[in-house]
Amino acid sequence: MTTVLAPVGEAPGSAHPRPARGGRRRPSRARWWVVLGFLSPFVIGFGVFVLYPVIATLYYSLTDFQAGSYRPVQFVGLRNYRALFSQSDTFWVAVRNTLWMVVVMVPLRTAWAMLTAWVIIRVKRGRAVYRTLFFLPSMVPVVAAALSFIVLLNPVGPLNRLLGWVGVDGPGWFSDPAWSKPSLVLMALWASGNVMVIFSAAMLDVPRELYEAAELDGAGALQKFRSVTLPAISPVIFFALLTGMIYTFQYFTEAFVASSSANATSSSNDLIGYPANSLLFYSTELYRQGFSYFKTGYASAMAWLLFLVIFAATVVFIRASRRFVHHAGGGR
Amino acid sequence: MFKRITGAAAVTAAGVLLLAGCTSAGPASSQPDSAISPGASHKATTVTVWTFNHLLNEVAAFKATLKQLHTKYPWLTVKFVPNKDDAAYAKAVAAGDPPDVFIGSVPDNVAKFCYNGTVADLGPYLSSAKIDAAKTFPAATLAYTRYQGKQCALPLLTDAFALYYNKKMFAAAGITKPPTTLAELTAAAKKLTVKNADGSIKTFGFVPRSDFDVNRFLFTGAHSDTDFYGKDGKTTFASDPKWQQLLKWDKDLIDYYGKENVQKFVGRYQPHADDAGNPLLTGAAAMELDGEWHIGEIASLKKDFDYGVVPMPVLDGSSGTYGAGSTLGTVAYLSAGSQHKQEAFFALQQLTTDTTFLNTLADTVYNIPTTFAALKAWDKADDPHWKPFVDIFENPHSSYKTLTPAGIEDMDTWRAFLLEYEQGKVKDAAGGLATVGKKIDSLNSESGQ
Repeated sequence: MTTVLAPVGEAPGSAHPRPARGGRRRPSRARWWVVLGFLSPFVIGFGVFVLYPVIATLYYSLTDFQAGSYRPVQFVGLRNYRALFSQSDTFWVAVRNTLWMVVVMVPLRTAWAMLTAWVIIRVKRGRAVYRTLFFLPSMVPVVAAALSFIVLLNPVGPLNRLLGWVGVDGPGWFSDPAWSKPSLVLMALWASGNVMVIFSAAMLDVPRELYEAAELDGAGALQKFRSVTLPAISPVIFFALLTGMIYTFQYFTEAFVASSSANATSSSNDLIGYPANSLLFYSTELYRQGFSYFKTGYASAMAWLLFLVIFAATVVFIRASRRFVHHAGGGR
Repeated sequence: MFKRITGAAAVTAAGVLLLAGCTSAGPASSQPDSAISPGASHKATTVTVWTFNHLLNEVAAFKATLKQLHTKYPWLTVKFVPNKDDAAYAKAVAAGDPPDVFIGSVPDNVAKFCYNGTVADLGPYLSSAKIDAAKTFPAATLAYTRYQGKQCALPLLTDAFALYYNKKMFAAAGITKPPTTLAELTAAAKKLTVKNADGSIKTFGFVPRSDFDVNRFLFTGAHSDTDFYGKDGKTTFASDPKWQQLLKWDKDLIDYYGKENVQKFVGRYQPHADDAGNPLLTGAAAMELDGEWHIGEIASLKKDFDYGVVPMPVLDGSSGTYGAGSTLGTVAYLSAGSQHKQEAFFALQQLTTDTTFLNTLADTVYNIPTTFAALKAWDKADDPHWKPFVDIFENPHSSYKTLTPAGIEDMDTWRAFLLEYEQGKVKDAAGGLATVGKKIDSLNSESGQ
């Protein structure tokens, strides 16, 4: 039995055959209203919650607007953008910390997810159980995960006690500027189950024949991984690195919760970046400028700069990926 | 084509107008004709009061008072909303729907809100209600509620900071009286320091690092007889050598313990500054600078702890100012955009001047009442632990730094510098002080100072 699909826009069994090319009928106005009616939840939501705020921040970034101020808003041109580079020390601290996370955390998280996936697909019995166990942390809400790590890595918490029993004086983790970012990286590794699942699916999808051919050529496990697995899963590596990079440029919640929980001080302003601005990231600095100093125009300029940087980094990364991403069919 | 261009231009113009409209137009200024007479009848009115307070006992104290207020003045209903911070308030103002009264915890923002026209000048309201601010509120509170002569907020309980010390440790070390100068504090701290067999520190005499607990208030000028800002409104870091002396004292004591040991202490105890893990209570420190609320914490966590409270020592050569300290507290604003300013001020007046309410709330949150009348009626004013705080609060030299439209950004900039200096990243103290001073002056001039 064969099924004949009706052309789009034409009901099966329609009495009116599709008009000949060149004589296409224009949809009626009433039909447009129906289409618009169905689209309206998205159109309104997108317009109000995405398009308007995006255009508004662009406008604000060119003004001295302060939230809550009744003073007339002055157009200041690119002053806010210039001030970012020339006046603020904390801006550069935030940039350095954010780049540190992009350069250290993103590759480590990707490599860790890849490694755990590689190990798990080799498990003969109980693979599903292990995969679930590794995946579960990624389902924990970020705030809850951060709070759990704060407890676990408290200077007198369980991990340091454990280290103490074996004669190691545990560090201050989230309280010590030298350890605070590595502690966040640890947390990211713990919650990398979602990436691990994608990697394990990609690894299971690599054709067996390729491994068999490699074995016939005398390749060992490492060579098979390097010459067969890695090229085959390179699109997934690219995906993990790209999405990880975009996420880390906007890194906020984990740092904000870690800083506030490691510091008992009552003033919310003291929490941002603690300890010693080591957890001051671009987004947390943006939050401070916008919601502690109420410099909405300046914070909007920061937001636009971040957008442009992420956009540029994404374009560069996609172009660079042509060198290492292998697509099915032999192309790159 | 022309149609499309004009259409696009119309959309752009509408967008710009819409955006401009979203930056909220200023409220119509209104001066109070006359104060609301408590005895007279009045049209039923509901005013909204937002506060940062969120703990159950604090909220209960507010609600009880507002209920009494409604019973006494049935025409006045207060819609009370807890757990709102300065950012939420600014957003509500920007959205054109501010609460009538806002109670905030960041006095640094008073000048910013005042300069931006966010809050009303309460001067005319106080005059029409025949309230003399100078005779009602201690001078220390007026320093952090006024900006350029405008009374932009009223105080509602305050904090003061003093030196807590472990009496038993003092006795064991043979120290008979608490230090009054920073040199004496260093000597006492060294005497009180106890080391473990492996060389690590078991008990610190005193840890001065600026990011620990409330130590930042050691560096506002109150303990070094220096003004954060001079009469010209500029920072005094470069011109007053006492700032260098203060920094040297701080660094010398940190170096005595070792940077790494101090870091370990701060990392270990900062998350526990206000709980049972507090270093003074656990014996990890013999002295600490803390606020008056710590008395309440000690009472509930370690009732039998034998401790004393004295004013924070001052820089050598500034003994004339011993007894003073940094004081700042909760501030209550009347929104400039309120639709019921007279009634809202009436509610604000009750909350900030009612002796029973102030003392009940002070007892609830372990703060100091903020009117002369409330202080006089307060049963804790002569308590040996509370008295030093009340004395600091009433000391004519006690104050907070002058407020500026930069809000809290000046203090944040100063604190970032202090921490860099304490970590040894600033080699030239004089040069560093001059640089940070210029930065803060520049911040202030950009913000409209």
